[in-house]
Amino acid sequence: MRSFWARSWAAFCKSVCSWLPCKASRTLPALPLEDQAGKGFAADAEEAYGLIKRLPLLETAPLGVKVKIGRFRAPIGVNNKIHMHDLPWSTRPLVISEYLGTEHGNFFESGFNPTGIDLDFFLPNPISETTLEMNADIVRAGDLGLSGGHAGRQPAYIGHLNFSKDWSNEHLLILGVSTYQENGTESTRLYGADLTYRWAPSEDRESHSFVAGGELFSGDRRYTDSLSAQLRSRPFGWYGYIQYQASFWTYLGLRYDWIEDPLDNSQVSRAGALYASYYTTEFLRFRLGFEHRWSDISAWNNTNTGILEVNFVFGSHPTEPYWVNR
Amino acid sequence: MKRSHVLIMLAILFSASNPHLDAQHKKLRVVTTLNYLKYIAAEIGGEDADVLALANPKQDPHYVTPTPRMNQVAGSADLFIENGLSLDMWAKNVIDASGNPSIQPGSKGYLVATINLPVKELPTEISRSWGDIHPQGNPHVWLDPFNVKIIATNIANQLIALDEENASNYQKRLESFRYRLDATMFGEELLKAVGPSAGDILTRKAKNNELLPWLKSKKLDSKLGGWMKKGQDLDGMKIISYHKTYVYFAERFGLKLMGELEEKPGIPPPPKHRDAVIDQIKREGIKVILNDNFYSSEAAEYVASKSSAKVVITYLDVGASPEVDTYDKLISHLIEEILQASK
Repeated sequence: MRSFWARSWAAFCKSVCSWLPCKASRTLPALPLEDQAGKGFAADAEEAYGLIKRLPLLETAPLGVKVKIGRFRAPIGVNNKIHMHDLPWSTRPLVISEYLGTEHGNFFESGFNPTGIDLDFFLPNPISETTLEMNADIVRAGDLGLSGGHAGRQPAYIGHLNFSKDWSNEHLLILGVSTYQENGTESTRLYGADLTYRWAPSEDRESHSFVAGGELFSGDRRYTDSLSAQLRSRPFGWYGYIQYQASFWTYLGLRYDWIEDPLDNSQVSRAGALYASYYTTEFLRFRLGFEHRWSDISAWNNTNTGILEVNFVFGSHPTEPYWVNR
Repeated sequence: MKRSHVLIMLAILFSASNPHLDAQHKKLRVVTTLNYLKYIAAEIGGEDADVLALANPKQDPHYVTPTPRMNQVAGSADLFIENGLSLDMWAKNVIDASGNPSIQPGSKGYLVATINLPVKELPTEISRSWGDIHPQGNPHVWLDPFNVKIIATNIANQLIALDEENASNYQKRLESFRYRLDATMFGEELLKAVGPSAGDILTRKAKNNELLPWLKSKKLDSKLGGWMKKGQDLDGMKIISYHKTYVYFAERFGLKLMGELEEKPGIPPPPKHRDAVIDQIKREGIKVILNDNFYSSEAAEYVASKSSAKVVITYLDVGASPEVDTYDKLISHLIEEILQASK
């Protein structure tokens, strides 16, 4: 698998990149530096990909397709695509960290960022004033949290379909469905649905907004245990949140998580969290959060966590996260 | 990865129909960020172009949130027009997400409408401590009708570059648009009295602050009409604005901008600065506070309640209200509202 990707990338660069106009593609690396659960600071390439805007041999991009090649946050649901510092909360929802993966625990960067190819394109749809957007990916299997690194050398396939409608850019509704499939000696499937609703008035917009949403995931993993017994795990989990902008600077939010343990589906964990974000400028943000967990897993049960987050942005005027009304 | 997987992916790419201009589709698809650009592009494009604007005209043009629909609409555009000057920076997100190579920066299908305009308030240095300033200069250029003539010419040139077959149509509509704008600006009677190239002559005189003396010397001052006639009552009038929106409008019609309610651009005014503005209004006899419709008027109303100034809620974009559904009405409404408030 690794030699195939390396050979393909080298061949692609040699044959195509030499004549692609430089403005038809760009590369993007994203390197978080984090203290990995007390083991010391380290840098890791969270994303590093090339985005091709002009396809070779084609005058136009059919269906508006954009091709991403490299390592990227997979389009499974909504939350996984977003970098942690751009979230309305300081931690990933439990269903994301437990089902999609985390290296160092729930309170560190989590999610699924495989190596692969992503096609992002629009589908024709019969309902006017709405948009259907699809992602179709082929990625390296085995890195998904749910599959536990047991997918062998097979590729995995991701599909994500978004339906969206906006009303005069005041109300925006996005509905999505996702699927992840990997087969081999062990197989994992993950199905998801997501919803995001955002409201901000046209006038006096800067001081009022509301965002609500959530995702649910259903997994299906078939694997063999150490005694060669065929086992199957079908966990289910979801989270929901709301956020209200109380003033020009202040955002208040709630989130609730519910998941079944990926290995022992009878073990359920829940978390409720409150967040307050203070946005001084687009370059500096403070957040206070509190989370309480109830869980059948004793190590998580009745735990309380206080969170303080400070975000600095260095560089030019950044693109605002979706929940920020700026 | 199996070859069949690659073939399936390539089949998806090649099987879709071409969404762009083809033999059956005659009209150019033009997408603009703001509605005033849509208005101008529609005037120039006429029946040879379908024009769509992405932003809601009531919204703050600085902070439009791109939506999937905007991305898809841009995906099938032949020409994408943005204001530029760091006003509609969200346009870049739309262009990137559209997957449309024809409208990428540098392509014939991409236009920054303000590309050759004389820009004001170009900062010599930039610091984040100054708030959300515009590093390329003040972007609210369209509030000066003379700039709109240049923007219209830029749009016409781009349409001609994309659709040479209809070049003469675009050129005729551009000339008609410029003439109508000149007539609204100076009055049709004066245009006819000046003769050929009247619009260009009068524009040059107005830009050099020579218009009235020149008209007097030619004994044409009684024929002055339009906005320049109405705007004579604005000349020398002191105003406060909420945001640095009216630099170009003020220059054209002789208003004196005495300051802004925002101490730093993009940041609501703190109480101390608000009180300082109240003192300034009282001291200098300022009668009008201009508050763009998409900003909260709370600070302006407070200042007005403590002074003799009146708040004028202004519309910045064509279509922001039913009263301003054309560019002519946008400027006329602004002039009339200021005159009303100053009485």
